[in-house]
Amino acid sequence: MGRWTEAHVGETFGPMEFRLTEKLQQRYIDGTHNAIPEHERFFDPSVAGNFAIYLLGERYPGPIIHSHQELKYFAPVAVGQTLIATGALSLKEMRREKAYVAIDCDFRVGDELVWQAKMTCIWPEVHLRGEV
Amino acid sequence: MTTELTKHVTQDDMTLYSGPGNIHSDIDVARRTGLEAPIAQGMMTLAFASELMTQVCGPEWLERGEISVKFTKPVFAGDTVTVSAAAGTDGYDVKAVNRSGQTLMVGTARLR
Repeated sequence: MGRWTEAHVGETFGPMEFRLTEKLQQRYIDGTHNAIPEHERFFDPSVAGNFAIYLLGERYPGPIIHSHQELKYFAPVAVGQTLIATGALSLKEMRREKAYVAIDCDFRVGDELVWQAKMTCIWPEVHLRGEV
Repeated sequence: MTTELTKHVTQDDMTLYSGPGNIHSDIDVARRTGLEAPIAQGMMTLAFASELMTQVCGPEWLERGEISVKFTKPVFAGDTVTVSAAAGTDGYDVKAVNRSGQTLMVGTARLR
């Protein structure tokens, strides 16, 4: 398990594969009561923020609290497609005694860039584990 | 012009969206992390805004959409969340508030 002291700006993550199954789509739709017809066939691209959490969490598991989220969409992604995610740590700093990190992520279907996500979050675990 | 969407958030919704055994679904995990109760995943509130922006912009949102938000207050089970998109000169001002009028999320969205 990675520790706060080991994380560094420029550190890379992935590639990580996300299979966009109908079951996963249904979970997000039902959890948010999403009634948009476009989101029945195509994934709500805001899930890119959720996948950014998984990408960071693979090496640094434990809860995070979202602070900021930026998302850019370039192409619709249909249910059944597979995303390949890569990322890089772009921020690591203490602010008001809280540990913040940001990860910049690209999501591709094949060679095509479909989504980008920049997630900034607080790592409460690092305080609980006494790492800072 | 401002467009709005209102959602009532339940613990079942939070658990379904985020899965079991985390700060969004398990009170013990939440308290160990220093929270008073499970909080909704920030991405859930952003998903409400994404749904709204798809309503406002149509399918183009999925190809040319951009959104940037800051989460300012947690959402708890039982909260009612209203997200709004107010048209401006270069896109939309996006905001989420609870029933007490507290701002939960604020940011901007636009089509490139």
